[in-house]
Amino acid sequence: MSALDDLVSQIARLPGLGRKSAVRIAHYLLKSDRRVAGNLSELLATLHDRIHPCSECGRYTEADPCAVCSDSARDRTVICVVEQPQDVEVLEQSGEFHGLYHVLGGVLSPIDGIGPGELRVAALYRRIEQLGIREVILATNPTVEGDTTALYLVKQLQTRGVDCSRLALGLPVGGDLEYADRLTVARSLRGRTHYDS
Amino acid sequence: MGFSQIRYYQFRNIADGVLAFDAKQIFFVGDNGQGKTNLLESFYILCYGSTFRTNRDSLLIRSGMSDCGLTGTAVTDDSGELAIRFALQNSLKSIHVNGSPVQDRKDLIHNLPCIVFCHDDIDFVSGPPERRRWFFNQTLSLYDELFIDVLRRYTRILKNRNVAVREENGDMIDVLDEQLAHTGRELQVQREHAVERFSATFEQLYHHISGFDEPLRVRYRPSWRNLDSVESVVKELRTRRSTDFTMGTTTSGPHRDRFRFEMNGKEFTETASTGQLRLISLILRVAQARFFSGRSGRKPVLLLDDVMLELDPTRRKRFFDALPDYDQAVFTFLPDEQFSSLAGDDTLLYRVKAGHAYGESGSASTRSV
Ligand SMILES: [Zn+2]
Repeated sequence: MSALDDLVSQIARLPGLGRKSAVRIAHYLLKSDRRVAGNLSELLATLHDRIHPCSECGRYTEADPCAVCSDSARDRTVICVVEQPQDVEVLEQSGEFHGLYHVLGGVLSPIDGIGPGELRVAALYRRIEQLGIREVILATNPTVEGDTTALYLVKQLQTRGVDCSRLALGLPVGGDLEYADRLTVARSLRGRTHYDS
Repeated sequence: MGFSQIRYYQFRNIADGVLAFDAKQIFFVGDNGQGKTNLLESFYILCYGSTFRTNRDSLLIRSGMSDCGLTGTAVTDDSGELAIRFALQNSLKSIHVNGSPVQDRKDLIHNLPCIVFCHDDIDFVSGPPERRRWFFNQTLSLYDELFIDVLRRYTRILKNRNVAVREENGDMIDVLDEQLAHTGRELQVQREHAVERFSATFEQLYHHISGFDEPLRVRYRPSWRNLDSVESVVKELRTRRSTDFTMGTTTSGPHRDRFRFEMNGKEFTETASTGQLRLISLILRVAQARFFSGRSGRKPVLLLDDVMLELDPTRRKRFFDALPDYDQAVFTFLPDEQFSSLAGDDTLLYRVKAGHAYGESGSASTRSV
């Protein structure tokens, strides 16, 4: 395999890119000034040294704890639970939410062997206790497993006397948070449904 | 109006080339093993993106070859002209409509609804309960696009619950019970309503085509009986949990629903003759097609593969006349069958021999590529 083939197949493994786009990107890099590839490779090489999951909320950050977790102006009685680190960025961009976040790192899925132990669930309970959280907003995606996860957490949290609500994403079925626009996120935050305890 | 032409490439035993189908009725006449069902199957594949004859797609490829393709040009009322391309390459299947890839086969079905009548349909009547569920799931999917979503959700929840049951994971089952009850009730209600209406059409057709006076009805027997709320289902699941643990699976729910053919309150198929079973299976398909047309206001493409053979001439004529209005209908016949009396003003007849289709005039109508 040639170096170019190797590069193309590495790029094609990235999410959302097919072989055609991979070829286009590889050729673009070859045609551009060598500094373009140099800068990119330097960024990639130090990526894992500079960026870590926040030890509190789990989103990616350079400083630990992250800007949200260390911001004293945030409402520390509300926590929003999401599946993936990038979901935090979507909610942050809406500018509508002023509480804290918690990234689970996935969803409960017995078929795939993913139980609470495989997710950051214990860390969530610990933070709720330490911070004295009063409301938990469950913002997992509206998929079967996203619902399972939300429902599971509601059952566990209600016994701890925490108020729970579910983000009502005004999206078609299967619409993930990742693809929601700012307005939709803002609307669904305001229209969240509370679970009866 | 259905398909105006289909291009064949290394598809089963069919000669490479283009066949013209710009007629309301297409008759493929030939002895067994010559390829008439393969030709009929090509229509189905372009409508559904899969075949009704096998689970192994590789069988669609001419033996000794590594890929095959079908390209159909279809004219529909709402989407205009469609170019549907089906290809199997390196055991990868791809479907394109007007050049865009189709991700979910569900989207394809609604482009060009198609209903097939085939020999195995008798399983819906005399086969195991899951074949009947399959038939009614398909009917409901044609009827309501959202049904497939609910069914897929249910199946996913069920699979998760079965794993949790095997692990005897109580906390997880508590959660999944609520989801299963909620989605399962949705399925149950949809099935209830659909079967009620379906049965009315079916009963009338059966009476008309069979000529029998005793009414034959379709009855829905849900697994969750007399439970008409999500809460009552959750309670039932709770009660049955220890049974589920023993059996290592979820022992109640819509995946265990039954559909019965009842005459005088008894399951009719246990005492019916083979001829009666065949007739019921044909009528199921007619009812399905009518049900679909009535709801959507759209006309389906009908594919009838060798299914009228077992009917006597009177019932054959009545059955033929009872078919719902269609965009296009494709029939296969054996050479000695009485098919000419069934031909209309707009019928195209192909004689099929060793993978070649010849127009009735006798000239080969496959153009070489
Ligand atoms: Zn943080």
